[in-house]
Amino acid sequence: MGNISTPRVTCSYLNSYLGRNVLIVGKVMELRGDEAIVDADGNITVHLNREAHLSKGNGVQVIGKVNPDLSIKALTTLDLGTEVDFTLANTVVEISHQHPEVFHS
Amino acid sequence: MAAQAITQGAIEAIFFDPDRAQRQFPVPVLQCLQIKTLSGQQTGAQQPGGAERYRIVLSDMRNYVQCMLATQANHVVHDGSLQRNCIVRLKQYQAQSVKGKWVLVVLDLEVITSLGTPDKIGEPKGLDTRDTEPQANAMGGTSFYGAKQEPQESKSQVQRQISTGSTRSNGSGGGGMSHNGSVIYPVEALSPYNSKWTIKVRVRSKPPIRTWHKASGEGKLFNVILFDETGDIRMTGFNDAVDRWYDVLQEGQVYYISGCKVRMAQRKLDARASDYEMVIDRDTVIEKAEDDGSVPQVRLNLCNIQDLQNVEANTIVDVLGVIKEVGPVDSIISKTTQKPFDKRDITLVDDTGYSVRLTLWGKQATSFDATEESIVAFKDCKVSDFNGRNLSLLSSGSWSADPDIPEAHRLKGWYDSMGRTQSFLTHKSMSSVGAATGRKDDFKTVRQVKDENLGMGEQPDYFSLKGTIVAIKQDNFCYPSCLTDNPPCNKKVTDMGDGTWRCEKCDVTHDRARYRYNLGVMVSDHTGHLWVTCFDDIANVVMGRTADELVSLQGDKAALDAIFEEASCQKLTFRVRAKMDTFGDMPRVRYQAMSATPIDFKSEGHKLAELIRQMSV
Repeated sequence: MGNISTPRVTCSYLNSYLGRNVLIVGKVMELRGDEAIVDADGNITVHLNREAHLSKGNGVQVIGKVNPDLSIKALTTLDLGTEVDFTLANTVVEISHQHPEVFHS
Repeated sequence: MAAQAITQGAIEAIFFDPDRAQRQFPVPVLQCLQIKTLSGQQTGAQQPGGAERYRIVLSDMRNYVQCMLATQANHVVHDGSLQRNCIVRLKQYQAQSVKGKWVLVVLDLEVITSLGTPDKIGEPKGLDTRDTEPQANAMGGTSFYGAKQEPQESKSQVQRQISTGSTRSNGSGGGGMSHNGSVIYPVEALSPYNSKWTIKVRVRSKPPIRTWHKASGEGKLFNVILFDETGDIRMTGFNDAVDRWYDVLQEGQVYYISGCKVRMAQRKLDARASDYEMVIDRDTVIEKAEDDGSVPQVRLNLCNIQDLQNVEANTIVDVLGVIKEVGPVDSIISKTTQKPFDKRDITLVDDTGYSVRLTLWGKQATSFDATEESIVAFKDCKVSDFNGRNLSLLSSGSWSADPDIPEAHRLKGWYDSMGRTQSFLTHKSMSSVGAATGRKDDFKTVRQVKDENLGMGEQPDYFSLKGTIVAIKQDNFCYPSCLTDNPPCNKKVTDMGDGTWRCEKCDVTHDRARYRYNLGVMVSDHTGHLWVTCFDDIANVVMGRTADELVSLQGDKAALDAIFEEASCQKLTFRVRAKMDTFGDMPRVRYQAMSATPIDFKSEGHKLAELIRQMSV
């Protein structure tokens, strides 16, 4: 695989990773055609690809590239169901940024 | 000067004119002329080795009087403040007449240390033994109150002695009430050192009659819990006493009781606050009291629900709360006796914002009829640490709905305005997360287990371990066990060679055996590893199949290997018991799994996040 890492981020961290691939865990708020609004400690616009099968209100994991306008071009999405603890997911993001030497090679 | 502080004439007033004593000398100040320790033998108590008792002589400069210090006031002697000749303030006392002599039972006194210890002030004389009949037969022994071995006639003579005052009810201090010529004692003043007492008490609870059948004999008994405004005490009646008194005593009614034997409480039977308990004997007299106003309806030692987490398991408390939920009556079979019994769960909340589960048993479960949202007081609940904190109403306990006490009114006010819509915290949130058994949350790493020498003491140690199975022993992972199921006998059976299996314990031969696990599992975490033994129940979870199934695959090594490999690398939370065992001549610690549960990632995740945050502080 490549040398790039895919850091876990939430809405507020997006502008540090412009043009990079990131991993987001959030809740699907809206679905409009091939666009979705995902809430990960803030609303993010995600441009979906053909294979995305998301459900409103479910958790989703999105891996994609950060566009200049802070929206995401999704490369792959994964439906996480309804039992996701979003607080925990956001905490993980926070902690991984506090300890970059462990998490971000 | 000390002489000015002393309330002269108080002693005479206390015994002969209690009304005046109350008015003029509400808190008598006296000089202590003598302090004498009475050991168990001297007081002739039935039970040797009780707390020591102190006899003191108090003077008001005109008279002196013998006094007994109640055990709850012993601290003034123990901390050295009560010295010969010091000046004291009498805060609570009971005046008695014992064998023709005046005696003061001191329930609470305070030493006025600023007045020091001046020499005996004044020329106090002994109080006239007015209005008392001298005892015809000399009582043996140096006993102050009369030994238990006292002949029976003296009891009736005492009953005829004139009391210190007319029948009045008052709270602490003062002359006290009397009934039929004998003084009413507060329950907290009862002790084995005094047999001439009468108490006026209400019956709090009257559990059903119990019978026993032992090799030494059989019989029946009953218990009641009695209380007045000073304390509660248990009374037991055996055999004939059951027939004589069981139906006389009714819950909630007030009675005058005298003539029981008072003995040390047997804590192991019933951990109760009072030191003593009463046993009915032939001279016991129980009479219904016409006027029951002076005995309170209910006496509660309340603990609010939030504070329960600071209470140790097995303590007995009383709680007052709003019923949030009443569960249905469940009937379950006891594992030990195989008998069915009823239980019911109630959820209680109060204004500390916490809620707790309370379990009722047997008749109390079926007869519980308080509705949701009512304020109920539960007396005598045992606290357990199962699932954080959890209450169980003892058979000696009782409940009363909407009691007329200020705390209840306050709760009602709170519930109506806020409590109804509030969501409550449970103590479960502080208990072990991820473990279905909800045991105490003491997670250890392997390193801690070894460093702290868990299991090497006299008693087994229990801890929780979150770890990964890295290896499972494939030899001897099970044994053939007895098939008897009711009650389950899991003893190893011997192969008789002809296809049958014999169990020594049940004295039965079965035509096949059931294989049960005795699985040795190596559990590892980031600090080290331990060998833990898993018995059938746990091992079934770990392996995902029964031992019988594995035995049937005995020949197929490849299949067995695959199964064992599949079972390894599981990460589980184990509840472990560590105990010392001797193998031949080498003592070793053995670790046994009491339970193994899959990890609840959500709560574990939060716990880890919390740990990390604490680390960076």
